[in-house]
Amino acid sequence: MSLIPGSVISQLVDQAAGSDPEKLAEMEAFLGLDRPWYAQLGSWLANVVQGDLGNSWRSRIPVADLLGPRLMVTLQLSAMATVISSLVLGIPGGLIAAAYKSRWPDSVVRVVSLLALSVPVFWMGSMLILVFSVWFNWSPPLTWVSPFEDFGANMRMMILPAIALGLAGAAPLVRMTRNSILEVMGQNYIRTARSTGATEGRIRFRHALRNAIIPVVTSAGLQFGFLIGGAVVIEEVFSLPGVGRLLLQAISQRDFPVVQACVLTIGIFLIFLNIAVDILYAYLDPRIKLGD
Amino acid sequence: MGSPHRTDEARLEPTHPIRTRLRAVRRVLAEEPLLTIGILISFIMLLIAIFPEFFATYDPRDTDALAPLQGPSTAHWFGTDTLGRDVYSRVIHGTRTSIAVSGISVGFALLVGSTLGLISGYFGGFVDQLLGRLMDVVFSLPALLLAVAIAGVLGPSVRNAIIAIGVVYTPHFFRVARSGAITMSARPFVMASRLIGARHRRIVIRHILPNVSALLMVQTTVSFAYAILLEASLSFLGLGVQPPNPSWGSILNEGRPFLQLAGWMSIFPGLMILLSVLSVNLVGDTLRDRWDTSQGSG
Amino acid sequence: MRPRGRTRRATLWVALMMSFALVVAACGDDDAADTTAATQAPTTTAAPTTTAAPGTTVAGETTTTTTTQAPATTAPAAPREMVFATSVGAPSLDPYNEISDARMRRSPLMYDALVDWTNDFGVSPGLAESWEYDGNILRFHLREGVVFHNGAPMTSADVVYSLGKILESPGSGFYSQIVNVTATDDFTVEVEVSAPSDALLAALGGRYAYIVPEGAVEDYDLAVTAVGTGPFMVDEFAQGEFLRLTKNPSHWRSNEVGLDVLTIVVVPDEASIAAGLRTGEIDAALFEDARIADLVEGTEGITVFEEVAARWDILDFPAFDVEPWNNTKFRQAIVAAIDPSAVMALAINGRGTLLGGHPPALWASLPYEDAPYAAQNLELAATLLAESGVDPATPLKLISIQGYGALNSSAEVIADQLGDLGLNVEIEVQELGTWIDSFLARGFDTFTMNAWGGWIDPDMVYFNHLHMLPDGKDFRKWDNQEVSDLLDEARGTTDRATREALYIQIQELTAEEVPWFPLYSANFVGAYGDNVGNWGVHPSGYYHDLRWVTVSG
Repeated sequence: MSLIPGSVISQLVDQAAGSDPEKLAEMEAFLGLDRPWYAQLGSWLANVVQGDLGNSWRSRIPVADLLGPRLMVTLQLSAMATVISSLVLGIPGGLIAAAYKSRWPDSVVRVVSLLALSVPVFWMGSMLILVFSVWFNWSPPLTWVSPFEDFGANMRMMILPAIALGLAGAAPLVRMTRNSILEVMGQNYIRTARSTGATEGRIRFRHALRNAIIPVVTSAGLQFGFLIGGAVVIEEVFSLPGVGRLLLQAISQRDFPVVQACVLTIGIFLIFLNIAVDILYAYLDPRIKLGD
Repeated sequence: MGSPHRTDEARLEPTHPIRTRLRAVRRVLAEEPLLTIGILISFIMLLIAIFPEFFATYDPRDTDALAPLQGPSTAHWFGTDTLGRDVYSRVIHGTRTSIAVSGISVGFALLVGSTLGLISGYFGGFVDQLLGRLMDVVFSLPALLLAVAIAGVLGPSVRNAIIAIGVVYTPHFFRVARSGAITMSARPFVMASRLIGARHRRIVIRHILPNVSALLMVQTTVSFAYAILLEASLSFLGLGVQPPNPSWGSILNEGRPFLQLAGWMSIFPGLMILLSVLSVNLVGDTLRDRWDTSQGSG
Repeated sequence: MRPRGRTRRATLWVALMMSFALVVAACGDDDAADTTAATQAPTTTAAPTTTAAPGTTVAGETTTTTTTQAPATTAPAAPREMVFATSVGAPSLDPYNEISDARMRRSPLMYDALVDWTNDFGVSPGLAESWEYDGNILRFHLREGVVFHNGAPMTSADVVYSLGKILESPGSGFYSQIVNVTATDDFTVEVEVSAPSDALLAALGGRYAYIVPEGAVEDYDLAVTAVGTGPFMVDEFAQGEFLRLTKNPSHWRSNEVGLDVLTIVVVPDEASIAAGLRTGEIDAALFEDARIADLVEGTEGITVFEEVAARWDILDFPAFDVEPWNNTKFRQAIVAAIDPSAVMALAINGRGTLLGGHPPALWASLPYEDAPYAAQNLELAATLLAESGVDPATPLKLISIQGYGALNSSAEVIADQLGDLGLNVEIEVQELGTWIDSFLARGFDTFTMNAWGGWIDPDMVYFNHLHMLPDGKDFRKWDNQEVSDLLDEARGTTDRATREALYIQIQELTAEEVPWFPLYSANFVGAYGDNVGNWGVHPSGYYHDLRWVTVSG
């Protein structure tokens, strides 16, 4: 933290009021900023382990109070984007590509998913805003509404950001689904099924899809984590009050307890997500036992 | 993503002499039209980055009080911005900044990541454990979130954006290099060199590095595409390249408040990013298919 | 496939982290619940008392917070609601610790001060009905019968307590003349000052100078709620999102308050504010970026307006100790080469006022026409540059500040214009914290963009900035005896006409010697729908005038 150019103190002290050095020293001592950075970091970690994320330097509001409601927004956004990127785009796209392997639909899917992979997420968001506001006169509600309160208003606000984010996450899932299906189709039991005279459609959906979907589900779970990262910038574009916007606001105000708490919270969430995905994988695939 | 201990062996097999490789490259290009397109666009982008003056129609910093926020026209192909500057010329000049920042970042990640990865994989033991854990932590956080946090805490500037992007992609190279080093260390000829007392540095550079370089190259291409996007995102958020220097992301940042008033300030730089990332991805995707390395998204 | 391999690695790593994570997660939740309970406790205790106390005076009005109830006997048919939008949110509502301008803008809605500001920076009665200077004693006679939002009556003890908090606030510099505060009876407060001062009286009308009940700082969490005597009470504060206020029925001017519910929404993307105005979701708004007004200009049913503001963007020369910045002719040449009208046109879309001295929103301002070098004159500039003897090829660095769009735009136009004079200017954009640190430490060695405002008296524009050490800060190292004497003289009197003449003299001096060059004062630009009436904007930008706004339909 010694690397930070300019300190929060210089921002806290009213420029016009004329800041005298005594006041600066007093405030530094109050915030504990007169101690070396490792001491600051140490006491912060000690507090975190005790469940105290501390107070925002800037507003003195407990960080937990700031973070709680915003976490819900980010999680909802990422969850919707995951659904869009997997169920709406990734898996169907992969199925099409696999069914028409090495024919034109396969190439089209490949190029389209490469395109989606190459679009900056935030720019896609801006373009969606541009198109929908100019052509369809779309405007989201001014303040965020919980889906449990008013589902329609919530969707009106969240659907475009979720689409922008979901597009970015679809490409790896398309690839995963396609390769997974193709691999499964080459397995012995499919050949066995074929030899018993099962129809091709039945083979594809009954046998191949069921087995091929397992790695796709787990990688969609992991994708969820990466979409949280994309949510940072999408929230900014669509003015959604999520963790990303809190993080950016805290950065611009040099409010480090809030910055640290944002990163830590998402890190911890991702650890739990990884555990959940591993458990889900073991549950879906009977060949794997927990504790392997 | 995968555990490198068992799965990587097959990929590292072929080591052809140079002439055979050249012939192979020509054949690949003929077989893969997408790869050819990708290389072509990348080459043009590189030319623009090196000789922006040749492509630009105006001085990118020339303001005009009489012509702010004008739409695309024959005089200003991409329109003008709030200060009456030519958006096309700014996008052209921004190419150099964007590509340089992404390139240096990936170079940083390649250098640090693969060096640490080779050391970690070759020596194993405590160093490997420590570095591995550290890289896992960095790897497990979403790239954009981490880059925003690093660039934000260090303070917004080009240098710090490079550091942030570099740090984010270091684990990717670390993993590739480490798994390669582990596989190769187990090879009889490496073990033999060790037994006859060859120096570690010589073994790593002469025997191991050449065998992971192909994989590192694929990783470089893939990371470069992501780095362009990441640089654009950081600059868009105001955490990367600062005005008045144009980069694709910073032009988008400037145009953001005027999205509905002057869409051209946002449309064209974005298309430029799309085009350059796509071209790199076309190359990377084909290479990845060829070498069958499977890296997840970044 | 792949995840199988990673399962083991992940489990290993995760096992390490898990106990730690679980502790954090579990305790974190508990803690969150605890702190919310703690912060809410005072609010919930406050609510019943508010409804109980004014029950004696206005029975029907107390139900306004619970909008579902409709007794329809005394209450109006529908609550008069207004949605006001801005892109800048207040980090907290704390009147004594929150330094952001956004908080100061909102405070007069919830709090009253001893005096109130008039729109020409005079003062009018607030919680004090009258006051007088008696030598070095400033005596306030308080209004009787005023009740706080928590039901407690306001007395001199509360004022003494609040002034104590004000003197501990980061804004204490505004109140530095105060020596001692005593209550002589329940409704009289005597403030002992080092010297009688108009500026102090004005300072007691806003910013940090709000009155809370005794003990409020300890008893309530003023960061997220408000316990004042103001015309509105906090219904809900969602940081960074909105602040919903309901009318305080027992306010001493409640019959002039035009709204039952006032919601201030924070919409960071101002284009969305424009869209909201068009759809009618937003009734009124102030824009930070003047260009956004173009999105609603000419829309039927929406009025766009501009109002003068007490703020300015200037080109600052804080390096009088180094070549070539100590060369007056060189500074004059630079100023004469700049066309401030072109700068203003590009930086703030022309929605501002050109300056000779400080902005005309504040009294005693020197007109643009009276400043000798303010208008562009390239011929004069070339002559001055030649006379200065400074080599035009010397590379110059112009500093600007990150995140200040208008300053950065201005810097680029200025660099471009100085290029026409043959000067070679590079722009360096610094991070705000770094910039402030260098500025306060008087560490600049080149010229810089600068912006500030929020004055309520000309003394605040000049004294700290231009007065020699040790009384002032003299950030430019100008070390000018003449201007220091004039500033002292202006501080020594409370006669407005004398002070006015002195400040004009100071501005003539700065316009000639150019320690800084005032580029323009950006107007406040806003828009409102046809249903909104009686709204103006105070030149401080604070939301004083939202108190009296009315809505129809």
